[in-house]
Amino acid sequence: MREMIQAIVEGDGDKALQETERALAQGANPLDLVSNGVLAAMDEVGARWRQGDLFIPEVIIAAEAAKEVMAVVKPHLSEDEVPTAGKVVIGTVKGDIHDIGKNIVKMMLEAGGFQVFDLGVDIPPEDFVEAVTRWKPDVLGMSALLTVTMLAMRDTIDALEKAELRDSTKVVVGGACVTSAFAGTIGADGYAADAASAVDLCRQLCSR
Amino acid sequence: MKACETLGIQLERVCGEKATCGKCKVRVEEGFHQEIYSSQKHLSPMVEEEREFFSQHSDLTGYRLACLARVMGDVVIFVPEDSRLTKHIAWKGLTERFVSLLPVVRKYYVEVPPFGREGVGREGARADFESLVSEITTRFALSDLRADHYVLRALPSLLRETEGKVTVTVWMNKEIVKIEPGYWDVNLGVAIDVGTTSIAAYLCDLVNGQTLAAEVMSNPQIRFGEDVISRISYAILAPNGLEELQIIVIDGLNTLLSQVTKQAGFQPKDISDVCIVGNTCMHHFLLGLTPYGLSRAPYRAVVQRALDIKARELGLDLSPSVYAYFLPTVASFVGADAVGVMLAMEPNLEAETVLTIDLGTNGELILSGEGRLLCTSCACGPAFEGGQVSSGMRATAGAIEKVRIDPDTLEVKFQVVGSPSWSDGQRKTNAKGICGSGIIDVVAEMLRAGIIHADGRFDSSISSPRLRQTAQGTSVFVIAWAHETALDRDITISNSDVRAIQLAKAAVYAGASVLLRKVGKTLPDKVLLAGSFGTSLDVDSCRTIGLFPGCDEVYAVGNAAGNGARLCLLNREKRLEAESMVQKVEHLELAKEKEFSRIFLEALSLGQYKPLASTKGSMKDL
Repeated sequence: MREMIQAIVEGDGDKALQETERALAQGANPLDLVSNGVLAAMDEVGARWRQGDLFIPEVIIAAEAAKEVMAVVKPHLSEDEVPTAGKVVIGTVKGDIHDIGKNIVKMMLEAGGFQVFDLGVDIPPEDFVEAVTRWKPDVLGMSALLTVTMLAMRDTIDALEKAELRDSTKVVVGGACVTSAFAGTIGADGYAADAASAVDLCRQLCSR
Repeated sequence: MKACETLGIQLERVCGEKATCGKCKVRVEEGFHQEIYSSQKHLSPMVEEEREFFSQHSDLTGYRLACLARVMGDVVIFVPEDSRLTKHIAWKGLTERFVSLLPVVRKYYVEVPPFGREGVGREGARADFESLVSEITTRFALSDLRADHYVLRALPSLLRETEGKVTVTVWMNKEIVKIEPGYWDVNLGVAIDVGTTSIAAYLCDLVNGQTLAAEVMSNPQIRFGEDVISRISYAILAPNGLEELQIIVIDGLNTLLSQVTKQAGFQPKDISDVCIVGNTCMHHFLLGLTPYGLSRAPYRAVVQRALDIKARELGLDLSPSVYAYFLPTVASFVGADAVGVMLAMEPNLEAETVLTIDLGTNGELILSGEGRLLCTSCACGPAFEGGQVSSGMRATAGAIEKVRIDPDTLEVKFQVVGSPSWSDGQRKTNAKGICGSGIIDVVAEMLRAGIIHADGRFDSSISSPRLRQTAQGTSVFVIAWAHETALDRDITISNSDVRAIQLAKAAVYAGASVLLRKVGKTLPDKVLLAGSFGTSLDVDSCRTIGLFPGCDEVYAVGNAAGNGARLCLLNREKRLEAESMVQKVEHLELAKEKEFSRIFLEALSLGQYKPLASTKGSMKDL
């Protein structure tokens, strides 16, 4: 398992797959492979990102490797065994068409075992409300790159309240212009400065 | 911060009071200082953001962020030199180039007959203005001249005092914009480049085409945030924000105009024409136009076409009827400055493929070739102008602008703005930080010396006193030891500084690649690097970090935007050219280009571009 973790962290997808298949053939517990393997690897990736050791491309490749391993392990798990960390609806707010940051968060969440529904960019409050109604996520994540569009986050939270969905869904926000103070003033449940912290934050909120 | 400003000390405020840049840090003195009892307790307690900042900067005990700390009692504050906003001295070089002289304003000396003593009464029934116009029409074949009421108000006394001998300034062969007593053939124009970070003015002699003087200043709007987005927010969200932003930049221009004319022995009232370039935001702020449409998709400007506005309506302290010409803009984030660059580059669309990169907080990219003219803008962040970098500063006095690292010994030598000699490791210099060109040099040299890997990681196997770990486990490399600087600490480059450059250069590279693909090319024939860097930018370092798709022919061309404004001042046909260029140019919105994200991510690694090993799966979707 150590080799598999190492391979994911280094972004060596092929080696990670080989190691996974070897472990499965040797009778390793698939659930253990996920929680103590893949998820542990992504935790290490997150930690090394924060240390400045890994950067966006390396993290993306690692997340990709993790996803591939997941795809191989999943068939070995029964339906209710598949660990889901939680459901997240994610999108960039109205007026903002920047998606790179949001996409990285999405990948990291998926690699961290979350089920993610990505609405895309320039999403008006009513579309967020509709998605929350449809998918009943644990967490709604909003992204904004521009200071001026960040007010659309408040509009979305207001719209959720009006639709009486606010209590059943945690709201987290992020993006270059957003600060934790701003997240507080608009009544969000949390703020994450980068994709690694976003995963930690969603885990925290989902475990409550 | 307000207290410091009241006392005349302008502080840096790069992040716009978000407590992330720490550039406004000040130290609070404890105890009695000249009968003032100063204490940390006399400032408002730290808020969460401020605590967060200082928890990551353990070396700054006793410091507070001036943007957040409020004064609640007597305090004595020490403002470190690197927290002060200093005067911009980096030279926006202006290359002299050939252009035929055909200004929009021309001067005509006339003697209006009835104002000689003997003449009074002979044609007494004729009005002053009609007499003047009739004389000009007869002598210079200019008909249908008009004038605004400011000119008319000054006319009668002027004609009487000079006995009808005056010099008339005519704009576009149709309007009298100025009348001066006697014979006065000095005809001056000023070209102004209003950048997000700095403003440059060039005083030109419209009789011989010479540039008489040039002055540069920091854009005073920096008080409202380093980047355009913070300023747009301020304009939209603060009461009277837009008005405040307009007034402060116009005040700045007035100061600059009096300095630049004084330098050449003239006064602002001697100016008879003004040409202004600037990015679309600066353009809107100058005109007092709301930036609301620029702030959100689909990013609409208020106006695109070129404008002739009376200088007095802008609040410029010039002769009241003189016009200011604003070059046209291309799109919300490709402004008149890019049009200026295009004019100055004189693109020949049928010849080679030329990529012009105007480096700044907002990088502008122009590609000409294959019969097309394309442009786009990419968000580089303030790293190229020294922002968001731990030891970063603008290219002012004390900025390290060139750096060399010996690959064997890892010893560093550097050059500071305004000083011709390299540091020797011993001598004290006035270094306070590193500016954009210096940061590009540092990253390139660290890469060459193997201190960092292509992925931006510091090589942990290197042992050098210059490479050390911080308490947080990140790495820093020492560029200048404390004893070589004007500070009491080392000037370093951190891991996250390298990351900031990686992000900025990836944005430029990816933007350039997208443009090249549009004309069916992968590499340009020639690359021109424009921007306020002037001559200090090292093209080899730019090549080494992989700023643009590989090319052998690379030139640094200085402030091309300002040069474009100057061309419009000297030759009125250039204005038409600019206006038709705007019709011809194809603008791309990078956020909408599918390939952009992928190339951006791949271009994050330093050095020669190579596609990432893994291109399967989700990388394609990004």
